[in-house]
Amino acid sequence: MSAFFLCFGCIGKDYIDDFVEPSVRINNPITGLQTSATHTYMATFFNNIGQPEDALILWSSSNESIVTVNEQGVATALAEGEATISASVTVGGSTIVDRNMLVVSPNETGNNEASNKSGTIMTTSGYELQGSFTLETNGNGLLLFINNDYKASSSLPGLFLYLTNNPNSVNGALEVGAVTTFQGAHSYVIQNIGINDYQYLLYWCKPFSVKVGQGQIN
Amino acid sequence: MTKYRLLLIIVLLFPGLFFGQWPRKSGNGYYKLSAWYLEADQHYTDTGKIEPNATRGQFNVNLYAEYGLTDRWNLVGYIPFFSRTYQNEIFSSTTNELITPGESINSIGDVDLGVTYSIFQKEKLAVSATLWLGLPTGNDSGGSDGSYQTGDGEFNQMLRVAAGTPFKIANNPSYAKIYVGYNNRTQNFSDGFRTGAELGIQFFNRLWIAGKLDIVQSLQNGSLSAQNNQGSIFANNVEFTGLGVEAAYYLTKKLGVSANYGGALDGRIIYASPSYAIGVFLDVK
Repeated sequence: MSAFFLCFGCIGKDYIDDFVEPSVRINNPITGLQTSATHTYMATFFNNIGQPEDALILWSSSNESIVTVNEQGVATALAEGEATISASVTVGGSTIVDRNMLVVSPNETGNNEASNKSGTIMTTSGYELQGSFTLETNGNGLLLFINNDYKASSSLPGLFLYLTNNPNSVNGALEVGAVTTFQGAHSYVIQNIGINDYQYLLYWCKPFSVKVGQGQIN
Repeated sequence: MTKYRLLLIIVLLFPGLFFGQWPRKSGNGYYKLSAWYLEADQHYTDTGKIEPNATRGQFNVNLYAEYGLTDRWNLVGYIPFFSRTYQNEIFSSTTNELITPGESINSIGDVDLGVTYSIFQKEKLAVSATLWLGLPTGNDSGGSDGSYQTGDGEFNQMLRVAAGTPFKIANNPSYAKIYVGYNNRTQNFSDGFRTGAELGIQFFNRLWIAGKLDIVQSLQNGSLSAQNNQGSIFANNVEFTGLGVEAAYYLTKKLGVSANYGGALDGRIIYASPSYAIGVFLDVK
């Protein structure tokens, strides 16, 4: 009798739909560049499960009389005006692109890389989860502020927060920590990552291995 | 109360009431060895909605026993001496890559011991009270993340009063039974109110078929929640309305086999999948 039931008590296999559209992302976009100055762009290709993957990235400028960019992504400002730098990857016959529009001026621009982002947290499940957040650079890491409008169900077991490039999976995601605040403002300090490294906040129930909610980082 | 604990209680309630509308006479007994199984890939949330989860399973082999110390006093016990909980491996459907390894733990489950007192027993009506003591003998924090549980880690006391009556349906022996109960729980778990009904009918002098309704309501008076109990699958305030059916066939006058099917019609913080059990029993009269 026990043997009969043990046949059903064996560990089986579950499959989760973790497909996302491949993307390329410029990791260090800027808004402006001083004439004659240079900026070395970096970009990452993310495959169909949101994982970084080596790929040939082609750089181009929309107006080479304003800005040029070489094969290594080094942009050089030539003259005052606006231009768009593109990073493109060709996958399976289709080309995916990320763009950065910048203004070239004779004035010093300083460090004008984006230093903060924000977004809205939304439930994707039957459990309550809502709120808004901001993300700010903090030395080598980030400060994640969850705002006062945040509320989450306290009935859900094992709720964890991740940063990820695939909102359907924690595979390759950065675990920020267990959720211990279920209402109101709070914050997280996240070390050794850049503000453009991840695209989503992901609320994940560990024991159930399911997504509870997400927030796109804009 | 953990989900697993709740489901074990469903198992407990079935044999405890089944064919036992009357307390056992002195020296008589009912002993049942069962294997019980549940696998679920969805659950009821705290608001009653059904949500998916990674496939988890629970399996146990248990012994249920009733023994008549006297005509009025019975000893009762439920011992899940082998209890297993597991979760499936999780793969990417895009790449077939293993994302989360499967995991399991095996241990003894939570043991329940109790005593039944026959308050009133006549030809057409029997009323009894049972005090169950739930012992935290299982594992309440197993596995890599503490969520693999074969027990709830708390000592609880449940008092249940049941009334049963025999009658005939189309000349077949039958019975009906109702009960109410209160489960006093510790370790910041909410107490629970329970009630239910059972209807059984005998065919061919050998086969019993019974249907059963169980309702569990949390009194919401425990402070345990995800805020202070991160590891638990289901921390507290489990509620459900469950329906089940059991068939028991007497191979001889004392020895028989049984099969059981049960599930939650609706619920809060409980798996939304049915459970199954098969067993052999000895009915000493």
